[in-house]
Amino acid sequence: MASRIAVSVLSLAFLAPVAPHAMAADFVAEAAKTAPLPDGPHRVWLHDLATVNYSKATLFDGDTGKLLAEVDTGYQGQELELAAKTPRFFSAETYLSRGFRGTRTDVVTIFDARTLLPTGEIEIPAKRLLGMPTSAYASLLDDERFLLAYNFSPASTVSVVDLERAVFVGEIEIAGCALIYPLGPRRFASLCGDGSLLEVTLDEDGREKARKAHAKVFDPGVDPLMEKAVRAGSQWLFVSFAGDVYPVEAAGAELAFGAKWPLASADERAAKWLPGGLQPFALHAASGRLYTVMHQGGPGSHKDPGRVVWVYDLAAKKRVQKLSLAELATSIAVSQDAAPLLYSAFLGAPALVVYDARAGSRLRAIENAAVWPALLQPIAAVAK
Amino acid sequence: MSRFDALTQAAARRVASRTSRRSLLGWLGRLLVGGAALPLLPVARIASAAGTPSGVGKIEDPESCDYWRYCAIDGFLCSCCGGSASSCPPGTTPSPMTWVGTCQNPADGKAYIVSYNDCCGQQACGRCMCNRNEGDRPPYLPWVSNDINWCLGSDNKIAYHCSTALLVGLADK
Amino acid sequence: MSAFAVALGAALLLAAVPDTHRSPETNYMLHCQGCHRPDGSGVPGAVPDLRGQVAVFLGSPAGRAFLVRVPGSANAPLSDRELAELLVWTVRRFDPAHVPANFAPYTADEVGPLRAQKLSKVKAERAAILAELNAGSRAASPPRESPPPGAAGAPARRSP
Repeated sequence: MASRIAVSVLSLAFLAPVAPHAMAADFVAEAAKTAPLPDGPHRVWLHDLATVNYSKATLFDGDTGKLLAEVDTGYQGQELELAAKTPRFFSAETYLSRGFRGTRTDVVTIFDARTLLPTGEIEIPAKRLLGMPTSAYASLLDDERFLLAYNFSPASTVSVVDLERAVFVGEIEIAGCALIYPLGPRRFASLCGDGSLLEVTLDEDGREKARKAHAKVFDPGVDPLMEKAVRAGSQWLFVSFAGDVYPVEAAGAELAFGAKWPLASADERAAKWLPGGLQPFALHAASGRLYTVMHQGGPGSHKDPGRVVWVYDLAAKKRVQKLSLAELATSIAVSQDAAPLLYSAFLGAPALVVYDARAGSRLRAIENAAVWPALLQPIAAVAK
Repeated sequence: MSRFDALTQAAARRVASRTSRRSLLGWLGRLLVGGAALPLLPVARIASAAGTPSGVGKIEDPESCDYWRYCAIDGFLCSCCGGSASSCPPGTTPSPMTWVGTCQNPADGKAYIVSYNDCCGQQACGRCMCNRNEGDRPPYLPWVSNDINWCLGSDNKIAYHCSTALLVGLADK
Repeated sequence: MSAFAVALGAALLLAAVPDTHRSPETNYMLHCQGCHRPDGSGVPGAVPDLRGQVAVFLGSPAGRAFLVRVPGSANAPLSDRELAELLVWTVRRFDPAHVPANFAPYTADEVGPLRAQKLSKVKAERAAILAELNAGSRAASPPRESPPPGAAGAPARRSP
């Protein structure tokens, strides 16, 4: 096709009056194609809540500040469920047949992580929880065979999807509890309104095999746990509204609930330092560092933005650094490489800001990154 | 159009686009719909951010995020969207399910139960975003969780448009 | 962590555990009406209608316990006494016809231990209780089990 066009163009050139510049004899017209997805250690997905439209996730390069690609994530979409074992990611999504009206359909969309093209979908009950982007609304279990989506209708259930057989397996009732925190290849935890933690074990087919309620893990009337938690290996770190870290260790056959430890000293608490935001916690696994967005505020400030990030050595449970941000942040994330970047975004401003995660120096701001910057998901380089 | 007008128009468009973003405990201040005034710089709001709304005069204004009823609201104010604090805009349907807050009325000092019924069935209004979180809890305590899209019971009208703030009782009786 | 810090932590929050004692009407509006609606009508296919139905559960010991053990009751930020009063108010307010003549009102002592047995699987328990009530009594008309949307037999979704 290209060569035929080239010949035609050349012919026209001979027939036409002398053109201001002659066509090169070897001119070849361009053909439409898709650019390959750039690789790199500092790429990060940023979710745009963009409530006035269907949502999307945009991939940025934190080093160059360039927008690399986008994917659509349906109505009030959530995070991308990123597989590590296969070049795929998944998204639990909602669609209405007439845009913002019509029949609701919920699906798990399967994406090829190299081309970013959807390759299929698995329909699930149209009742997944819709709301503010929160990692625990849906999760892959550890061997990436099953994807779980939390439903609220307002009955609390979990939809189990078998990604290997590409089928919806069934729903598991978790009345009085919410959200999904994977504990292993066939186990997950949910937080419950009475302060307990519900542990559910699945069989090989993704059906419930056992459940166990761990009573009195926290006291929701005194100091509720935030639903925004981070996972450090086999350990979940939940943080309470008042700023205590509650470690839950899942390595053994039995869950182990470690002693809680405070993010702030007594003086700092007196000065009202609290964690807050949409995605307030991030972890750099290799160095064992926990990053937390902090602000000063009173009751009801658990979603407030902060301008400081406190950094903790998890092994020592001690703060080792205080980073000052130039801009407010409601979400942070950290790349997992040896020269990590700290990504920061604020729901109230369109920029994605990039810092050196160790030095704390502000490297760049990527403007117009999203209308409503929500969750940040760094991804590693593909090529080693 | 004169250069001045064009600049003003551009500024107004930037303000209008910012008015659709979250106001967290008033971080973006008094958002004027379509108005030419610029939002308060966050610095001014930090000083007053310890849970108290600034702009005392706005505490009685249903189009202001500081309105006393909105102490646990999350969403767009229906008062700015063709409805009111207690009614849905034409073309939308009130959600049957909701979360509640307990807010203090400055007029009588009493705590009122506020039911934040969403208005559903259309895409988001986009004006007067307001999020305050007194008494808000995560989804494991759903009746006080304002992150949830509560349009879920509305017969497929899951699209969220705006939030009302109905007074449904006195909290201390 | 020091007791001081703990106390500060607690003071920093609007404690949901009440030291005030509210009337059952107020507690219903605070903790129940968000889903069950002010008139108790619920949402078809999603939230049970309490009207003309909720007191039927008082017809069996398991049913009586069920009303305490459902998470909406068990997890409510209420003292045992307030929850007991709320349940008594609820059955009388929304389904007086089915309240047994010899109904012994819930007490805090009864409610406390039952809350500790909160149900995390409600559907099966509810179905079993209704089946038992159905089998046991022809006079009472236990609540219909309305299927959730999307289940087999559920009404088809209406077009916009």
